[in-house]
Amino acid sequence: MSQPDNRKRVAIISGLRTPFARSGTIYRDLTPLDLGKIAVTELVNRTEIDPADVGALVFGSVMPSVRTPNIARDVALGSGIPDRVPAFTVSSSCASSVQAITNAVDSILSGAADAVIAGGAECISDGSYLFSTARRHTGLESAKGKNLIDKVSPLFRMGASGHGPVLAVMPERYAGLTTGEAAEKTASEYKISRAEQDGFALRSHSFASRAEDEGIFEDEIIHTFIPPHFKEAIIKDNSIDENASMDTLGDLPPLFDREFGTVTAGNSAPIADGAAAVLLMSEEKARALGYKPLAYIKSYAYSASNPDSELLMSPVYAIAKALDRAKITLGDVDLVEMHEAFSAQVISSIKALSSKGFAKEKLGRPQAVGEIDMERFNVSGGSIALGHALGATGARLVTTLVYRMARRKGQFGLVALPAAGGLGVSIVLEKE
Amino acid sequence: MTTKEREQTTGSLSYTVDSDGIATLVVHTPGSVVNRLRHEDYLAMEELLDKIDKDLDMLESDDEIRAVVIVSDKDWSFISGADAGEYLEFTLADEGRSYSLRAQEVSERIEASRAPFVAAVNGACLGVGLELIIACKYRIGSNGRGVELGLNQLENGLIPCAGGMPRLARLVGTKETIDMILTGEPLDAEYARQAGLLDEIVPPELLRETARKRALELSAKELKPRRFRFGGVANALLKENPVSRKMSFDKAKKDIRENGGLHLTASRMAVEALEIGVASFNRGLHVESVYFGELAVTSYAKQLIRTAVAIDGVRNDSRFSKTAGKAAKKPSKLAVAGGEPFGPGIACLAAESGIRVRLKAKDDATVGKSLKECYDYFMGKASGREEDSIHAERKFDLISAASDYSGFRRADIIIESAGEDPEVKRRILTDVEALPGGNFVYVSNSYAVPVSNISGGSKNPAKVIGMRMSGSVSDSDLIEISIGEGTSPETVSETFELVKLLGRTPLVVKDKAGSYLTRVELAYFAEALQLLGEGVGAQDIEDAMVQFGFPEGPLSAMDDVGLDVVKQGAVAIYGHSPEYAKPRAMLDQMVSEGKTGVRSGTGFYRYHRDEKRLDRSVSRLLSLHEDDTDGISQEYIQDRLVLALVNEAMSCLEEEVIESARDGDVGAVLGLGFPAYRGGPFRYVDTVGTGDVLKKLHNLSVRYGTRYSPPVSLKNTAVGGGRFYED
Repeated sequence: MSQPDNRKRVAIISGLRTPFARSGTIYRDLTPLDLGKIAVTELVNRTEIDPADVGALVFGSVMPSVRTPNIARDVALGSGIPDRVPAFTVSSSCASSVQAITNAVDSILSGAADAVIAGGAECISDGSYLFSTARRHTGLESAKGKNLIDKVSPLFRMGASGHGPVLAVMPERYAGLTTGEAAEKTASEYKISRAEQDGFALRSHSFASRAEDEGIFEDEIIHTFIPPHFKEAIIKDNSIDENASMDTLGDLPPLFDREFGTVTAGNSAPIADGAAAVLLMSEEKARALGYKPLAYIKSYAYSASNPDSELLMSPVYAIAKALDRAKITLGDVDLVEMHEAFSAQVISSIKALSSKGFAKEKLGRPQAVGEIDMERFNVSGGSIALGHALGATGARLVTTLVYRMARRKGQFGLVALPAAGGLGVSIVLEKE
Repeated sequence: MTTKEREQTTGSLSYTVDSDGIATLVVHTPGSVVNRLRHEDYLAMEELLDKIDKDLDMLESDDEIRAVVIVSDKDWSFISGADAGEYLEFTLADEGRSYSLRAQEVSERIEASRAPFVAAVNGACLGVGLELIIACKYRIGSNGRGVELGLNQLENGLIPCAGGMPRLARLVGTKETIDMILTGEPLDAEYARQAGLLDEIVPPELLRETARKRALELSAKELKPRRFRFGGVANALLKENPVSRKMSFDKAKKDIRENGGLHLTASRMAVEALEIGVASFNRGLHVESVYFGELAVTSYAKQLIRTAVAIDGVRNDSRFSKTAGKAAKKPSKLAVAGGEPFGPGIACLAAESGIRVRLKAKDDATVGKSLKECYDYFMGKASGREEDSIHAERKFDLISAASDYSGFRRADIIIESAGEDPEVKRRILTDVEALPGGNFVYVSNSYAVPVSNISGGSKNPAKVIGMRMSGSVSDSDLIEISIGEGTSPETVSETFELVKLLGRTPLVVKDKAGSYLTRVELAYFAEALQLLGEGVGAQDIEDAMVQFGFPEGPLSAMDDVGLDVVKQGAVAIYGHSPEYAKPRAMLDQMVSEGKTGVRSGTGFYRYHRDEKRLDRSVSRLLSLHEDDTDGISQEYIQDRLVLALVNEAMSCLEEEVIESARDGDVGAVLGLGFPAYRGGPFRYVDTVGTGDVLKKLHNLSVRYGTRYSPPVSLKNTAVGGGRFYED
């Protein structure tokens, strides 16, 4: 998408999210649909938008519940978006809710809709179990049986093993290694020490806990109540560790390479449950309805790189492209929000951005993309501290960034995420 | 239906006959409001039966009609019962009896008809409606929501009169039939199918088509309804032998004898007629018609019917109802300010009716509590079935809550329900009126704060109106709407329709120093406290009023409302009047001890789990001397309390707080639990006689004070031997 100045712009009116919570903790009994409805219902109420003005709802989801494969439609109907408003679900691994946002941007720019709600929800706690292939076949055979014997005999034919359930997990099928192993590989390739990684994780926790103390997240966090008891309002992300230290982080064993590894549970993002949603509008529509947008989408870009060798490096490609499209440089950017899947991934990306060699070799440009100013990077911490609610993380990054930008003078903000499969995405936001 | 060869129309019924000789008989009472799941508007039974009768005569003489399909043109009502208003015309038992005989005859002829009858039930099928379809050869129900089948004649102090009882027993079994008659609880489609009452359930879109197909098959003798009688083989063997039947009947009779309760005579007669009918069908019909005739001319049944008619009149009052029988347009969003006790209740009612609600509570803790209350309301009603819990979840999804006014701007109607402090109430009004772009009707819900006290500070008093819910929201059938100074007629209509959408009966009153219900209820409560203070035992007071026909005694009712609320009401309405000094002091004492009623777990009663017991410590707390009052009769207690209530009701009529005696009666019956078979305070005065009431009031006022002084209008009425009602 290139975007000449005279064309219309897409405004971000508001963004909200539930607190993120480590999977299997407080949202244990909920579904992604529950969390998505909370986010969208609250977004509609807080923005006071007439639901009839919403032209579409796009939601991202990584591990969809088998009961709500098109979660977007159910979220829309459950949140009071009128029946006649179309809704669809997108999936692009960890970039899913960014994909939802850019799809919304496209439909606004194309004139298909004036206002779109985009977001994502994830509740790994609601994960699915599968039966083995053999068990599923015998199950179907049994279901088709005309009489009792036909129904029962296939089950016996199969033997005892294979009846048990199998947790549905996502392998990196074409990478030959998991994202964790890729992080290990990147760490050794870019010579990122264990201490360096733990140090970055510590930074994430202390920045996040400072932001929380300062009430930075209050704009974006929904006071969330959990059925059936609705006991107390959940108002904080529960994986931020204000007491994190190099010692506690240093004590953790490596996860993927037990002998020589440096990637631990401490310096990678914990998997979380949560939902986030943003309201996007054409600039004219926002003006007509009297909204004061928090920011505008300036440009965005997707990238994809070899999942085997560069599984986590693709944001670098996306950032370079998005900056070019926005006709700005990294130096013009006031704030960067990058998804922290692993300390090693963030650090290697930062190194690659400032590397002339990487620029020449991989990006085919003479100069490095630019130096990241750590004073402007993930200033409220990142996914390592807050948790990574897969399908909701992208919308969280955008939400956090727009409220942060609104509090500062700078003109531009940048969001970047790597996603499984070697995918990457970056969005440039601007004010006014 | 492709061809339409003939069309016959008579009143509620018309039919068309297609080329296959299948007649479609449409029930479509013109101009009648039959609301979903309610049957407050009865179809004209006599008319219907006459017409079916006459039509059937025509049908049977016409050899081209091979089968009849009965359908309704209304989404929510198949046949909701009889227009009981007609029974009021009966002066002799024989009139009722002959009415019953005709209904029985129609049923019998449907059952025996050469052309098989098929009923396609799509909504409420109650009372005589159910009796008629039981006589059909085949019954299909739609699986849409709103299908309910029941015998509810007992509600009017009557019994089924069209031969439906013994027929139902054959179909579903004796025990189930007894339950259906005595509880009046209707069955849903699925349950009715399992019980054997429906032969088949189909989606609403296929209902008529399927019914027609079955009619063809029946007439061609291709379909024989496979039907176990008596609710299935097992049931028949186990329960339909003489011993089991006798046990069922004995148990029913014992229950009636021991539990007493409402509609005692009718319950007894229904069970007796059924018992005879199960043994000998024709003799049962005979007994049924005799009993029906006798019951229909009792003042008990007549008063119940009059009350039902009056309620209907209030619900469809043409001064306020602008929808002319059609469903009102739903507000797209309702906002409720105020957490417990009323906020969540109102939210649930609205969500139940499909209206989206935004609730504002004062802090997160209250938001959580409110959401839990709503959640429990819907989930508690859902059975274990997944479709039920999804349905409940969809309703609950309509409610969201926060501790600020976010989401209020889009509301069409805002209901403030923040208690009894006028200052707080005015502040909320100012706050929401300050929200940019809001355009809403503002309803202030309160027990005793007059709406004009609130609307004074409004930017737009035309859109401000008062409301009063009684007891707990989910229990009350009536919601009082009070017109304040400056409230516009449009606002009244809009609120009136909202209350109807919420499934409640709206009663419009003018707010003059307290609404009608509050004034009347407080007069009643205050008198109970006076009696208590005079040394009358708490249990005696409670017993006397339950005996009179109230569902609970006044002390128990005060606990329900909350003694803190009652106290605030008393202060607002009686101020420092010395006549009420004693009740006020007693309320003060109770409240200061934290004994505020059900919500605090202790008031005049102690509440423990599901039990409640009169609290003995109250008499010490209030320094009561119960031993002074031996020999006080129940009648005396009733007179004191009822006449205090009635006198206040008459004052309200005189001051034009209420528009008519009818409004006052309906309000007292639905809003205060005044016994329906006594018709309400004004009917009660008419029954006792205006002259006698005047005399009693006069005597009481001499002894106890001006609160018993009869209003001038009563004196005038009584002089001429007049009454409040003509009939």
